[in-house]
Amino acid sequence: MTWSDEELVSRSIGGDVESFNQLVLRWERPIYALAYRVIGREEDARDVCQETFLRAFRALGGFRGQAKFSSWLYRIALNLCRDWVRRQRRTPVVQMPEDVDIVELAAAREPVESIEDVVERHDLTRAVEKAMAKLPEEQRTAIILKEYHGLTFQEIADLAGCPLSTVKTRLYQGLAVLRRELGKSE
Amino acid sequence: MAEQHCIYPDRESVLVAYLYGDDIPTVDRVAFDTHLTTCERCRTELADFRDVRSRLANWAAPEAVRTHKARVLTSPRWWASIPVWAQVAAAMLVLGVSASIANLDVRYDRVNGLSVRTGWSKPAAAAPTAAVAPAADTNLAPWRAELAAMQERLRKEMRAQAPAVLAASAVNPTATMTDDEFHRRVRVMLDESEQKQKKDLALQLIQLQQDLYAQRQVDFAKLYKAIGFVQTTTNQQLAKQASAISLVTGGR
Repeated sequence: MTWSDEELVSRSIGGDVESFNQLVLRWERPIYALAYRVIGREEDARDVCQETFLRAFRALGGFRGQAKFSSWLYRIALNLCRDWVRRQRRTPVVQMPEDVDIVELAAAREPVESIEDVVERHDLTRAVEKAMAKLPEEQRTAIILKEYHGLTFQEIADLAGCPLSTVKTRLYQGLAVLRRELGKSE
Repeated sequence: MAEQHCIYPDRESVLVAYLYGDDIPTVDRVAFDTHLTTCERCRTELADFRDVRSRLANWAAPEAVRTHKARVLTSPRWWASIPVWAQVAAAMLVLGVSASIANLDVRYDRVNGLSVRTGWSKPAAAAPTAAVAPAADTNLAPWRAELAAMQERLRKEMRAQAPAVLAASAVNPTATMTDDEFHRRVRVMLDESEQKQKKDLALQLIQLQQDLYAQRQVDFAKLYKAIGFVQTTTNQQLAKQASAISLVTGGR
């Protein structure tokens, strides 16, 4: 039987640690992806991801279900990402190694994919990473939450603690910057 | 080319809402549909934003490799950072030391003098038996004198011990001790010594682990440098091949 997030939370609060483990397994990947795209470093993203679940576990008793569990989790993760960015005092550029291992990249993909496809996709990925790195944190976060996590404008507004109209403006401005930056890379 | 002017009300918000199909009532969508037929700027921008979105879709995050289950639900132990082989070795050593100390056998006789034996060969309970000799046996007088001297020496050492050790004994250390009391105190000292040895062993293991880790970092750095060179060369060759193939196939 598949439990909903809220049911698992309820069982976790009741002392069923296995339920919390299910929540971790369910949300680990999205939270890690969010952290990675915001701060751009795999190792730090893993730390943020782990810390997110640790904090969630400790604060589970205080979760009253006003928001969805996923939104609550996203909020914790975003706060940690924000702290990380401030602590680092540097532009959160997504950093790929200069000599990226294309062979390994190709090996990890479907065998039908040609080496040209791999190289092209790699170039495209790097272009996106560079363009995203140009965005201010608020715009980048809004775009990540919308594009990669499918949150609604209202959910993003709730997470960011800003009006819905501000979310739309951030998305528009962010897309405009990406349009310009990606146009340069062509 | 100068950008075409557009006066559509709240244009940017509506365009984003239209693009994502989020928070836009049907009536507004239809209105913007109509607007797009006449406004090249909005049409172009919408097409470009769609193109941006399709390119964003190519940005995949790496696989998350760590499972948090165990770390969330169990508190970390200090020895978790020590390699398994070292933990096993430490456990064996502690067991050996403990077992030996637990069977400490202190004996004295005229032939062999004072002897201290450890191991499983003799139960520890035998030690007090050896220490308690019949008072009527005058041949054992030197034995008792020397034992008394040793007792006195141990008493002095015990008085110099940490307060915790003295507190462990309920008897006034300056008072005359019975043999049982004496052996009990020896046992307390041995226990304390065992604890100290365990701590020292743990510290040494940690130091060893740190040394190994540092060495491993150095080795990895050398290895990465070597691999990086090979990889760079390979990547350059691959890029050349890709360009060549692209040229041959006409960029298809």
